[in-house]
Order: sequence, then structure tokens, then C-alpha cells
Amino acid sequence: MKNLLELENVHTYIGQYHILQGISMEVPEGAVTVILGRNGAGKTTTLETILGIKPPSKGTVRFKGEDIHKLSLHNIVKKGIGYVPEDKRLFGTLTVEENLRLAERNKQDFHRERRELIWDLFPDLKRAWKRPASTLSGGQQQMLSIARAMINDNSIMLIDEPSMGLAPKLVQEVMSAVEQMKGLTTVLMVEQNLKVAESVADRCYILDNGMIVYSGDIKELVKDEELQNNYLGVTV
Amino acid sequence: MAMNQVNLEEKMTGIPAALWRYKYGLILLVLFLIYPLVTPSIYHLSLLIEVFIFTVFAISYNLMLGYTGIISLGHALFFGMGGYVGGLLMVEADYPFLLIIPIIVLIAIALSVIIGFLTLRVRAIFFAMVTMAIATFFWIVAQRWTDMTGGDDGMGGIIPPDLLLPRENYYYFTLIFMVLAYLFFIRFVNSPTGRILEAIRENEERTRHLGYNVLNFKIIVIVIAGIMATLSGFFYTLSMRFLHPSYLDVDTTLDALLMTVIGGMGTITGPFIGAVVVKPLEHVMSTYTEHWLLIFGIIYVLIVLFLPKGLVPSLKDQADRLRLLGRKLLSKN
Repeated sequence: MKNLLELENVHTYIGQYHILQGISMEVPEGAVTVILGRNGAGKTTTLETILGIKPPSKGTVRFKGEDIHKLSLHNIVKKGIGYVPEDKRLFGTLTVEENLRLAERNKQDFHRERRELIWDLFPDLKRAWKRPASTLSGGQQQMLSIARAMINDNSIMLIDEPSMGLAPKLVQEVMSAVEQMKGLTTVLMVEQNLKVAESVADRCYILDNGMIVYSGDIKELVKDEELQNNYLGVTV
Repeated sequence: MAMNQVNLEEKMTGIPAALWRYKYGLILLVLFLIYPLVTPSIYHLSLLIEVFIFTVFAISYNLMLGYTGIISLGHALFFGMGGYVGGLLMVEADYPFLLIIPIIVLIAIALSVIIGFLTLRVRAIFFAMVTMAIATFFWIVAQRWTDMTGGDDGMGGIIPPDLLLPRENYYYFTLIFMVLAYLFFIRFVNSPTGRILEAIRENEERTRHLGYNVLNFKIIVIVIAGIMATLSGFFYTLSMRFLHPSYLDVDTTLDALLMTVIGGMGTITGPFIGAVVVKPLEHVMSTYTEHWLLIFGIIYVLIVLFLPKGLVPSLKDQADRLRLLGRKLLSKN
């Protein structure tokens, strides 16, 4: 399988702190790749480095064979990278429809097909179509956040801890949406919950103190209790 | 009855729908059009001219603060620049009115772009500080360069072109200026660009994540706001027929801020309501006491405390509440 996104020896600092300490990563096209790790391991920073929010001080980020680590955030996004941040960051005064229209890069192309796909995946959003985003529940806001990244034909979606703060039933709904994305786009997802990650991931990386300590098939990780204990602090 | 009205509104489309939507504005416009025909009072005409001009000035501030979240502490820079450059070109260089307008518009564009690129790239607060610093600099220049500007005594003899005389003609001219500014404003904030500005105000970083070049959008806004404020300053100078350094001082910026906050930030009608409340109040209070600014400060604090959204949104909330109560009572009966 061809790699869509590659990170090579990437170092990122936040202030004086050396967060990513030379990570290398490959994200194959069409697959769901998950980054696991404890709090503060550098998972969110990895996504933010890819997007140029926290540009790397050293190393290369390559998307579809093109170096993107020197581009600005808005230009990186325009290459076809969708982002679902951890804290959703919706526009509360705008309606569900307006949030999606705003996210759409090709304004002439708010096409029925995508909209209906979103309605199929998240029927709640169809019902709340004309409501301000601030009036949605936490789960609905997460759905809108994901839908917003899906409205464009992005080649890859970066999703940051989609299960965080959600009730188990809603986590299931969100994961089933991620599962359905598989056929449509590539996914790179950050997750703390191994059980949740296992349900959708094809491949995984474990980050610990800004370094990659495991990469491979998630099924192998599920079998390896020692690895889970050492780097995730949990066992499935 | 209420139901019939809702049905009627839903059925209307295109121009009739737009006319119906802005029916109160249209009624007001008709009243303003006939006003000079029924009153001989030059004082009231002058006051309304001031209201029309300051409405546009407040629209420009509302675009920045209310719709995009950009705070400017030196918006008087554009207002005063329009007044001084326009007035001096008219008096000293004898430039025709129609040539002065494109010149001051071009200066406003250049000034906004330069300040925007230099400051908004870093942090929003720099824009506020730099605009205040430049406005203060020009205020000092206007005060000290007495040979050219008349210093603190000001400079008179700035007469509008013959076509805009007498006062009634100037009244209609500024009314048209306000109406055109409003038409543009409504169109602009309801356009996709307007939605992006709202998104920037709500969450700048997130807007960037969606692939928008936030800096460019902010510069578009400050250029538009700069042009509006510059023209307001020039037309105000023509209305007063006088130039004074106070056009560049912090009180003028505070006027725009007051009107925006009192009327309601991020609302269509807010700038007009703000100007209608602030300007006549200024005139009335200044005739009774020299401490009118203090009273204004107290009113401002009270509005911020008790009507934090401004007059328009707060009154709308009250009206919605009353409407809901009325419907409940009707359904019970």
C-alpha cells in the first residue's frame, strides 16, 4: 500500500521543551492509522506538526510525496488534509448548515451527495440543520466537528481523540462513522483508549516521551500485555 | 393574525421579501426624506447630518469589532485623516471635491494595508496599539503644525461644492451616503465573506484550520472600515466647514466604540441606533453641564452591566419574550 503521509526524523519544540524527539511515521493510503500513548506523550503535537500549527524545527513532513513542513497552516489544509481537533472548536453562533458551508472549500460545490452522506452518518445533524451549533449536545458537537472535516474531498483526516468526554453509546456512533470513512479517505487518529482504537485501526504507533516505541499491527499490540503495561498503562 | 403574517413572510421571495424584511428601515427612510420639507430648523438638520455621518463611522467600527473581533484604539486616525487631507487639499491646493474623494480613498487603502500587514501578523493587540500610536502622532502634528493646520484653533473655510449647498442639499447627500453604506454593509455581512469574518471573531485559529488565510480577511475588513471612516471624516469636516485636531483624538474613537457597544456589536441596526442615541445625547447634555462626558461614562457602564449585548439585541430579546408570553396567553384562551 502506498504511503500518503510520511514523517521523517521530526523534532518539534514548544517553547524550550523538546516534545517530538525525532519521530518517523508512515500513513498508508486508505487505512486507519492510530497514534496511542499516555497523556503528554506528544500525540496532539504530532497532528499539530503535520498541520503546521507547531512547525518542526528539524525533519521532514511529506504529503503525497511533497514536502509540506515549510508551508503555512491554511496552505497545508488546502492540500486536502481535514482536521478534527480535540476540543471541537465549532462556531457557536452559526447554524449546523453554516458551519458546514464555511468549512467547504469549493463554495459552488455544497453537493447533495456529501450532505446526504453526512445526514446518513449523523441523523442528529439533519434534525438540527438550522440550529446554532452552541445549542447542540456534546456528542452532536463532536459529530458536527467530524462532519465539517468530511464535507470536503480530503485525502486524509487527522482526528484528535474523538472519544474524549463522550458517553459509550456516542463513542460507538462516532467510531462507526470513522469505520465508514475507511472507504472514502485515509485516517490518522489520536486515541488514548486502546479498546476504541482496536475497533477501527489497521495500524498503530505508540508514542512515549516524544519517541516512537512501537509501530505495527494493532492486533499484535492487543496480544502484547507487557507492551500495553509499559507504554499505555492499561491492558485490554 | 400572527400566523397569517408568518405565512405571508414565508411566501414572499426576491425583492418583495427584501422590502418586507427592512420595512421599518424603509419607513424611516421616507420620514428622513420628507423631514427637511416640514421643518425649517437648521439645528435639527445639522444634528441629523451628524447622525448620518457617525452612523457610517460606527458601521466601520462595527465591521471590525462587532463582526471580526478586531479592536482598534485609534480609529479616529482614519476619520481625522479624511478630514485633514480632504480639507487641506480643498483649501490649500484648491482640488475639486470629486478628485479629493479617490485620493483620500487611496490613502485609506494604503494606510490600512500597511498597518494591517505590520501588526495583524503578530497579535491583535498590536493593531490596537499601533493605530492608537499613529492617531496620537497625527493628532500632535495637527496641533503643532500651526502654519498648515491652524493648530488648536483649527481651520475654517472648508465649504462644500455648490451642488451640496444649501444645508438641505447636504442633508440629502449625507442621507444617501448613509443609505449606500448600509446597503453595502448588509450585503457584505450576509455574504460568504461575512460568515468567514464571524468565524474569525468566534475562533481565529479554527478558521485557519479550515484553510482560510485569516490575515487576508482581516486586511479586507480594515481596508473597508478605513475607507468608510475616512469618507465619514471628510464629509463631517465639510458639514462643520471646520477642521480641528479633536477629529484625531481618542474621544472620536470612543464615540465609535460607544455607538457600536450601545447599539449592539455585530448587529445591522446597532450603528444607527448607537449614533441616534449618542449624538443627540451629547448635544443635549453638553448644553446643561460641562461634565457631560462623565455622565456618558456612567450611562456606558450601566449599559455594559445591564444590557451587555447592547440596545438592539437586548430589546429584541425582550420583544421575543413578550411575543412568547402573548402566544402562551392566546393559546390558553
